[in-house]
Amino acid sequence: MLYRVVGQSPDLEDLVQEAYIQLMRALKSYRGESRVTTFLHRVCVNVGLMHLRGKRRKKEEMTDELPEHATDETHDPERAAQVKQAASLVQKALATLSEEKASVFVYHELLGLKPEEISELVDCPVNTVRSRLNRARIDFTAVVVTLKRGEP
Amino acid sequence: MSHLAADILWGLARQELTAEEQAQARAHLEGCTECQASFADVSLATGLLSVLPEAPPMPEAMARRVGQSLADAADAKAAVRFTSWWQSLFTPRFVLAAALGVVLVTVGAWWAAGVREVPAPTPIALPTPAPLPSPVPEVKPPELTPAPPVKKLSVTVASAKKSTTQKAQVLAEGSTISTQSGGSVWLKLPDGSRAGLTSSSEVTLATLEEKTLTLDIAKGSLALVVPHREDRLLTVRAGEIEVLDLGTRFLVSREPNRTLVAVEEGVVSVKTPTGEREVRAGNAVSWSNGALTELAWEPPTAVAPVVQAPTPEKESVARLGDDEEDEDDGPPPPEEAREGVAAPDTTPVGADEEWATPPPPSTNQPVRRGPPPRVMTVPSERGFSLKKIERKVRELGSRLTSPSTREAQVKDIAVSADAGDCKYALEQIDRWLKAPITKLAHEPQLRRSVKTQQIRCLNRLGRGEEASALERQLDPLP
Repeated sequence: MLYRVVGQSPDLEDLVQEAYIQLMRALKSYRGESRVTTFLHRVCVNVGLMHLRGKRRKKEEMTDELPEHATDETHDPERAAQVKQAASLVQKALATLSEEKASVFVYHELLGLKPEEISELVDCPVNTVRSRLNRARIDFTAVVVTLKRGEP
Repeated sequence: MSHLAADILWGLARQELTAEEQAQARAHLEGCTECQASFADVSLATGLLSVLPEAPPMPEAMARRVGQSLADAADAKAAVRFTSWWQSLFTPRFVLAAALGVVLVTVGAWWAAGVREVPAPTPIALPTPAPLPSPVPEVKPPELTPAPPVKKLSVTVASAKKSTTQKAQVLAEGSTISTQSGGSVWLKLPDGSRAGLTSSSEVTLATLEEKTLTLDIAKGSLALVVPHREDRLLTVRAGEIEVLDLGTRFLVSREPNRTLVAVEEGVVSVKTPTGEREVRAGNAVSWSNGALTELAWEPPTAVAPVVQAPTPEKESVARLGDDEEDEDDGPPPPEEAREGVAAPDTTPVGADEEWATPPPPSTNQPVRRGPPPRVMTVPSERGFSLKKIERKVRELGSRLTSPSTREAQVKDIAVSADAGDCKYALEQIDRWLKAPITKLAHEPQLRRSVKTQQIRCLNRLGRGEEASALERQLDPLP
């Protein structure tokens, strides 16, 4: 089902490929010192965040990039529009966060990982993770509010 | 009275607080308009997150490949390194990892490229890697080998055009990269060196270890910008020839019957079956029919200064993938260290400077067959150009195999036209035709051959009218 979606977005396919390649590379050097999931997480979040960062650099309007055709026709178009708008705002807000904050935010808020798990992933103490997450949340909220106010 | 902290507001909105904390927070909110306003903002932010749909599953083919690779890796490692009890522990772990990989790769990519509505919260159907059908190799995964005794490094593709590889791809030891006609690839080696493949070249990453880097050229040319390091040995092999870097910019070109090593800066050591010798800047050697011939290579016109890269900032694995496409075929600027990859601790010497040759006109690009050529800007201050190297190699090859300069030029024109470098060929043709006519017996034939190439190049560049006009003027065959 998703293959259709992935196939329709050249960007997305590239990213999946990139993540896959990175995954394979990471796996090759795996020595059992950390959990397999650790580098799976790292790879995917890094690939995603770097892509957003690249977009911000190019000052592209991400909304324009969201494929229209991927929306399932059997679904409520209103809901689809809502999701699209939310995704666009989240992406824009994430792209403004620093790498440290963005990754912690994504791990927790989007992937649902606990601070203890994130601590292992980003290789820093749990308290640092908590404080980064807190700052990320504050920044994220501020950006979202600003973006929302800027909307017509 | 102090206000509610951001984490409490977020916890409340995300329903992460304990019942007691929640009750306290709500009690405070009721009497505090400021916190109500903050909570409204936080709710707006968390509301967006909650609207986002679940990550949809990964494409089946890719999931299969990931699962297969994970399972293979588990098997290989288990066979080599662990006893059976560990193996029994290890394999299910990888099966679990495969399943997680399926989810996470999708999530990572999905977040990056934009979200769209997907069919209602479908349960994520994870293909289990256990009963795997033979995977369809849509994207060939890197070969997985048992854990090597030495740490293996990887090479990153900094830029690629018309090649079997693509930009930002990470290549493991044993990978082969080839370019088509008009293609080029810049590789970033783990020690910070840069290696550039010109068109129609094929190179294998034979050894990628911390102390040994070996590249094998099957055909074509490889240009290298190598910071000298005592702690590792970089070798380029081309058939019988081995070139050992001693800190330099050099190029190795392999043709069916000749191998050329040219040094623009620094010095290399060339090993042949009959001996070993050093080649210094401005010189080249040609190995052909078991003999090594010394040649003059265009000496550097300027000494490239040592360029110190800015302090690398922390980077993630995907850093290379998001650079804007550019058409320059010079080496890319130094990339920062990337997570998980051995970070180069040196900067290529002068990698961003012109490499000893005068900058060509910005339109000197290979001509693509078919549609009219794209006009590309090549900033001359960026890197040395693989096109220039290619031209020099062609020119030298023609010189080596022709009895006179005049004939060598004709050959260079023909070879350039064959390689699709039509604009360059046209420039050479122009120069050749303007030069005084020699007393060579076959000057008329040479002239005709050059004009034929001129017509051919004009046609390729979409200048058909000029080509037809010239064709009409073409002298009949004697």
